[in-house]
Amino acid sequence: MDAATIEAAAAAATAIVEAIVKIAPAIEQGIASAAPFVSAITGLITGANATQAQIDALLSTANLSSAQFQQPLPPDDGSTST
Amino acid sequence: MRKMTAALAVASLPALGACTFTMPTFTLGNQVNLNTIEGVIAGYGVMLNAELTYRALPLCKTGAEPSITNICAKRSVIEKLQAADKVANAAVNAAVTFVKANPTVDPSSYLSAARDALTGLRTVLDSANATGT
Repeated sequence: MDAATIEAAAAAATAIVEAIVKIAPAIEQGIASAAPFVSAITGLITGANATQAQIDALLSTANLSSAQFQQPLPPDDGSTST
Repeated sequence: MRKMTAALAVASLPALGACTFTMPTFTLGNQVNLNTIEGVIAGYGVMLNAELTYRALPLCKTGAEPSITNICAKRSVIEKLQAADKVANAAVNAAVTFVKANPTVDPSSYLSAARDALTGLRTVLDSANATGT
């Protein structure tokens, strides 16, 4: 393998790592936000019965997340119309 | 002897009648409905999470496709997800409201509507994950 090939591979790897590092906070936030839902699924799998209070709390969390997701996107100035 | 037994039985009837006790209201159907509805909300929550994570990405520049070195979210995909989420959220809330108001009535039609709406949402999410479109 010549030096140019190694340099190109290293550059590609760097670009990938940089792209992932840029979005790492979003991924981290996503993992934290999923916790109550994953915990509910785990409870059902392990045989714990759901209560009305748990359901109300879970639905409230889901509705808050949905409201957050439904916030309008920033207006498009033509640079992000894809 | 037979007369005496009958007399005892008759005599004890008013005592039984005066005794009040509350029948348990828990039914298996209620619990199954609660567990099912919790599963539906939890499934919806996990998808919501994927939606929010996608939305947190920077918007793709016009004409650029998402790739491993250009991790971005397409405005058009977010708009599709918002539309699908609106339908899913309404269906899940309708199912929960029905089960709460009618704990002993079969909620199949509401659960089925919620499942269909979640399947629609998942299709958009899967498409975004696979191709970015």
